[in-house]
Amino acid sequence: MRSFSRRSFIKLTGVTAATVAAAAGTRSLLDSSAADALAAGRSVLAAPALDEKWVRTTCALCPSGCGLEVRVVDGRAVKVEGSAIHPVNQGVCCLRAQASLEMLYSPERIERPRVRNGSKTDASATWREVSWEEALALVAGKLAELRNAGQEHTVAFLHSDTRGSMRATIERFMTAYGSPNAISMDSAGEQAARTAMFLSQGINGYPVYDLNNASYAMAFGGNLLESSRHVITALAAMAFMRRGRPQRGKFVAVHPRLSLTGVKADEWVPIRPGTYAALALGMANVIINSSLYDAQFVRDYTFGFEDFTDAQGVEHMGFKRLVLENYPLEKVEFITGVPAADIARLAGEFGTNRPAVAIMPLEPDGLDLRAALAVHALNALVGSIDVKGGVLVQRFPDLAPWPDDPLPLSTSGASTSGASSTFPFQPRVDVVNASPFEPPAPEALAARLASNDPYPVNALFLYNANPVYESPADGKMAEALLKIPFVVSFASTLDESAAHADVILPASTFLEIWGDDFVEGVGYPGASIRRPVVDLVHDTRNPGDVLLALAAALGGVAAQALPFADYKALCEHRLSAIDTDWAKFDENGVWSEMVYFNAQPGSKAWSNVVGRERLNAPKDGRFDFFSREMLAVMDGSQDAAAVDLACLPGFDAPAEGLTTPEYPFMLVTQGLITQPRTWSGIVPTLQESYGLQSNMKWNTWVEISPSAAAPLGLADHDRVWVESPLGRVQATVRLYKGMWPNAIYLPPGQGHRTGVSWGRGSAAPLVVGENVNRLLASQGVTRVRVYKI
Amino acid sequence: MRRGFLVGLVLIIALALVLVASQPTGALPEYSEQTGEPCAGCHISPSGGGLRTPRGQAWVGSGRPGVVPNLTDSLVLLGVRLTVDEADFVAPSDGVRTPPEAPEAPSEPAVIPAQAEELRSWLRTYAGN
Repeated sequence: MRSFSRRSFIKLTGVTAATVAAAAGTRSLLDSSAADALAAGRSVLAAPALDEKWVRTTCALCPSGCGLEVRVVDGRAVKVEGSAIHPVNQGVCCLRAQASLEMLYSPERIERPRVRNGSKTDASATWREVSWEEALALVAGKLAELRNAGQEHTVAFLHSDTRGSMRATIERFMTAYGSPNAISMDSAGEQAARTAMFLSQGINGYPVYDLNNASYAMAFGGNLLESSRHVITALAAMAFMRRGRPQRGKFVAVHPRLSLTGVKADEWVPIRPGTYAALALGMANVIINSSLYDAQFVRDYTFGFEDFTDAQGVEHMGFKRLVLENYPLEKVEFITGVPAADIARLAGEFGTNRPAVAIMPLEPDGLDLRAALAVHALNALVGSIDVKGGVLVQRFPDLAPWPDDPLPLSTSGASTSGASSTFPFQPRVDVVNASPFEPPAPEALAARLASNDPYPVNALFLYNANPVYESPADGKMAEALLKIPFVVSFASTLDESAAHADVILPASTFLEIWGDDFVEGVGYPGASIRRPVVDLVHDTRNPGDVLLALAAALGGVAAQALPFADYKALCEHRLSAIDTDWAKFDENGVWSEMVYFNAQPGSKAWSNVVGRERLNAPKDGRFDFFSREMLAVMDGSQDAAAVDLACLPGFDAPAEGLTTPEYPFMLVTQGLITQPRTWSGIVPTLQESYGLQSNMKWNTWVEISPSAAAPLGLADHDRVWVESPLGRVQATVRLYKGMWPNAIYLPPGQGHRTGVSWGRGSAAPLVVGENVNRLLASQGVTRVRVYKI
Repeated sequence: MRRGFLVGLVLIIALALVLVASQPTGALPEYSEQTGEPCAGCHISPSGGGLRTPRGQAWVGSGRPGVVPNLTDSLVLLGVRLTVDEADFVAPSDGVRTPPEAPEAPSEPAVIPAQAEELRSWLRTYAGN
């Protein structure tokens, strides 16, 4: 080792001191020079001055609705950052929003309206670009023709995620036109959580989990930190609960796959796919047996914990007996694969570290309503309903009523109040399930459309929806769209469903339009503004403006129902009821009440968090372990035991078992943060980082446990077929120890067609990866097998 | 020796530049002393610094007076007009819960199709996004 002499040390010290002094002096000089230059109105840099501004708007790429600040230079958006004053993201911005400029300036965009030349069934048919006037006249003319023929109900409007007032505008447009068929294809997982909230808590809304204040949080499935509804608030809150406060909370992730959420969690609990309900009820068994539940809350503010007798004298089983008799630890261990000792420990931790919160499943693997009910029952057991660190109820701003409402009460001929409407009753085309609480299965919708059941659909609108891609039976949905004589798409790119349309009215991106957005995921009410950050890049329009133009062209009730010059005016009208400083609202781009008040049980506000929206069950401020709302729609011919099982949470084992010899694996999918809900699969930056954990991009991979791969002779990076009873896809093997041995993982969101070369030297159409939806069963576990190509 | 000296020199210069370039932090313990409030009174993080709570925002916005306004006053200062009455969220101390009423058993026929569809339609509508 070389010696470091005293002389050298003194020399270095002297140089350091001189450097610090020089650097400080230089900075001071620079500062004063810059200040002088600015004071003199000169540019600090020699380059010519640019027209630069930052514009505040609201993201629309996922349900979080983050506030954004977009840097615009000479009319071109060049950078996206999170808005520090927006309560949802507080300055941060995810990868998807960062990549939104690639959507704005994407060469994939449809630049102006298109009408198909010839028949859709003719593969050689081409598109003809038309003016907006011509396109709108064509669509309005078709709608008028159907209305004049008494066929209004045969028009359907299929949409997925909507933002702000758009959902209400679509519903209003369709109701005013005379059709019951405004069909929402919201995420099935989120829909189950919302329905569970309704059946148990009497709230028609998505749950909000107060992770910031939770001492213990347990996520049953769902990639909370990548693809949940409130992903940005969850990311910030998880960091805060574990590192930002003196008393650290614990986060437990339960899932067959060690996702990024599991990696970030304090504990990952691997579990057999589709068995969350059993685990939750096994935990409830321990909590009740050990008297760790909130006995006073359960006694005074819940219903159906104990056995009860109904008004007709029939005895019913309560939640307590259900879990004590049916979910002992040994049985739950057998079902879930989670060791009994771990279940007991988790239950003990959950029951004793209050406030504790259980997060309902969010994704399709084994998802069912009863699993969501079972998980939410844990929250009621420990009294975590509307407490700090528990499950909150999102409040929304009061909105101005629609002007001079000319509409009948409903389009289906009967209303919940019993009043009749002026419209003749027409059934919806998407209703196939006996229970009104089960979401419609997409493939069943495809089958109904294709078979004209209950009547032919003569015109279909598609907004933010790509049913050909999203439906498990993709061929059937494509077949259905080919049969519908007039399909209108609002797609921004030629996606799989737009390719089956007759007319495309291309939507502008969210960076080019006016709109509104409701703050979600924080509990307190708020709204934010979406506004154009740049001029229209192409000859596209806001779909909200298009609907208003169609309503005006149709005249009559439709025009009266939506009498707004444009969608901006509609949003301004709706938000005008908010009592705030509008100049500040406009400047900040967001308004919120900033504070969530937790309602104490028994307070006046308690009725707003438990039972507020019950239709057939009493609004008595009681959380239902035994759903009285479900009881009210049960068929009276069923015996009491069947009724009880339907009204209580429970685990339903598939009749064939979770796997079969022919299909030995269960398929799990989880959304990724690199996968936007729209523009999925064709944004280069997102593709470049698609598989953050697997280091895979521009392709589909299958994660499989090394112990399961070895008997099949599979090695890392082998190409394989993954096959379910519905179809098969190709994928690259990634051996992953964080995978349940009898399960495999395939990433969703791939399998889209792109017509852009993206550096591969050819602009020939290419399908990037594989569409996992082709394999998925719409209900329960999807079984698959894996074999080499 | 000469090479080691140069490497050390470069590192020290880089460190010096970093030290000089770094900005002072915003969270100051003397504010806590001045107002008698813990850091968490004004900051989301109890250890101070970073994002401010509504009270912290109102305190800074009103020119850092000697007292941090309470939550309700802070919201007023920030231009927030609450749509709820805080008193509604507090349970009365003499509140007595009565046992729930026995629900009606399901009758036959169950919900007629039109009602089921109405219920389904209603569940699809949603006050949020």
